Amino acid sequence: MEQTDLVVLWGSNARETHPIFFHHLLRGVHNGARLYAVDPRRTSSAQWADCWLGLDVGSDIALANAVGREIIAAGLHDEEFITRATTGFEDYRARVDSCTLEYAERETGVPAALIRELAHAYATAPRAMICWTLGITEHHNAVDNVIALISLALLTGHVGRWGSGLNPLRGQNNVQGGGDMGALPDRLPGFQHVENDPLRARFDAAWGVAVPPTCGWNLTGMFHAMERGDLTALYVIGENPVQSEADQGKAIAALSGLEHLVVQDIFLTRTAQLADVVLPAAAAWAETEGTVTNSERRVQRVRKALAPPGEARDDLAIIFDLARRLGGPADAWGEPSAEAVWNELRTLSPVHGGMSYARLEAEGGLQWPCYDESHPGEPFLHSRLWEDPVPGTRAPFVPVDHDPPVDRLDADFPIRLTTGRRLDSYNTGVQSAGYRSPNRRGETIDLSPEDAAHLRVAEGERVRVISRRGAVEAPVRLDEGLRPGLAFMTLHFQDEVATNLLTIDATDPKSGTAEFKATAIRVEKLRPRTPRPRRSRPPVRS
Amino acid sequence: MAKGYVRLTQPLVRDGDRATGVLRPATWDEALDRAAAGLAGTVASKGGSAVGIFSCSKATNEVNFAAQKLARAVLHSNNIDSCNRT
Repeated sequence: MEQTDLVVLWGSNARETHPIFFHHLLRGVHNGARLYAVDPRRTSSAQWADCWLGLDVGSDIALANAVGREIIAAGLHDEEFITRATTGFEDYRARVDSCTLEYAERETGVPAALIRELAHAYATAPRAMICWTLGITEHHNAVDNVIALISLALLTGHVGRWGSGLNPLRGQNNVQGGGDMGALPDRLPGFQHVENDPLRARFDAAWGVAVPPTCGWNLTGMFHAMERGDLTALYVIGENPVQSEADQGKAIAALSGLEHLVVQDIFLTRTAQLADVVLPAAAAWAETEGTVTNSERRVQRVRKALAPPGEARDDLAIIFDLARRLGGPADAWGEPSAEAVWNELRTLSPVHGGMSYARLEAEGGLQWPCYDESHPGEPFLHSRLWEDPVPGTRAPFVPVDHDPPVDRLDADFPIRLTTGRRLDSYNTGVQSAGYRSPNRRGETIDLSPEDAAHLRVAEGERVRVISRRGAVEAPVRLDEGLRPGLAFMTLHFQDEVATNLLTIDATDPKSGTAEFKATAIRVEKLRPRTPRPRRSRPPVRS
Repeated sequence: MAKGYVRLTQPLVRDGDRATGVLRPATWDEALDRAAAGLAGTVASKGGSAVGIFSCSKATNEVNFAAQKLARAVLHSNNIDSCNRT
């Protein structure tokens, strides 16, 4: 990040959501990199940018396709790279041909001149990065949104080289690691596909079992299965789906209908309050040994500094104990040590093979893939695209089309609510509520000054916010970074303002991500607008 | 401003059903036996596909590895996910 020429923050308010990463990004800016921010809101990240493209919610593909078309029309695409390292360029070129700058200005609200500037700057920069987060992926067409961005990197060769690339910024400190470890319905540890028979056979042999040969349900699929009655027992570890899922009413109904719910957590969250069994656990960042993996694929050690309170136990010990009581063999599920578990993982996941605890500690972490103990790890991926000929498959262009958000605006629900996060709080607020912060002001419905004036609501006034699924009350806050018709709320204060009662669980069929970023709402005053004039009355005769 | 949550320090089990029952303190043995019985009973009567695990994106790699191994090797289920959908 510190050695690049241009960064596009696309659907990311990293200044508030990824402050450590943003620190590195700012070093890059101080070293001369230009920063472009693509976001419906003029966020604090956008205020750092050389240029802010304020697009309408859910119009990212229209914008990306227009950027791609402009790069091609201006002859700024990397023909050598495209010919040698990609496939499908002609189909892509034809598909984006109608996405002119004028079309994109109409569809996105971004001035054509800014779109042209982004296209030219990105294509001509010697090194350039695109970084994105939930602004791109919390949509019903999340995967298509990401693919539209990938196409821009393939057009320009800004991938597979130091200082250039495609960077999803992960939202929890170990969501990357969770997936890498195979906490996914379709992937075994090391991202090896469950339905790949020879790969799965290695796990069968290692564990002495027959791993189920077909993919399971992801979290979205599990919720649908709960609603159908096909999934009746759930073990939740350190998640609060009662408050974090879109369409909260539906989520609560599904979880309430389970026959058996076990929740392992450090707090009695609203999810734990529904459980049949609650297991008190250790705080993963301070009360346990192990490793975590960040957004740059770096695996780092975490160390136990404190004992968990009272009778709370280490998560690994709980899982192993549960496994023994479920009939797991004692030699596989004896007293756990984090390092032994990690070393087992290394025998099964080639990309982690060389990452012994000793090396992780000596090197300050290692980036996968790291195949053996002499391998240094890889600071960036996809360098094979610069070999001639390219080993393996060439990178495909996949044309995608603009598809507006599912929760349509109409006369009853005329305002677009987008939800997100702030610097001072974390997700559903369970962990951050207990820490004082001068920045934390509680939940508000952030409105543009124009909308507030039109609604005749004032800063601080409590209003009702209504969607097709539910309603909440919250005080108004005026935000000049919002254009008319756009509102913003967070998910940080679900106990006080259950924002997810409003959101829609319109999910991407490929990824299962819900369209948290696009809800249709209206805002209503709680009290009449003007006091009724006093009428003089004749005195009452008793 | 809401008061912060306090740390859980002992296992809890529910007496009664989800609508009307209450959570009360229990020993680790009682809590784990009850947790295991419900999971095992579901696997026995309906198969591993009726069981799911939500794993934790703030827990360590080792915990996530153990959770998916529990799902696949003990509960006969591939229904495991971490916080990848938001």
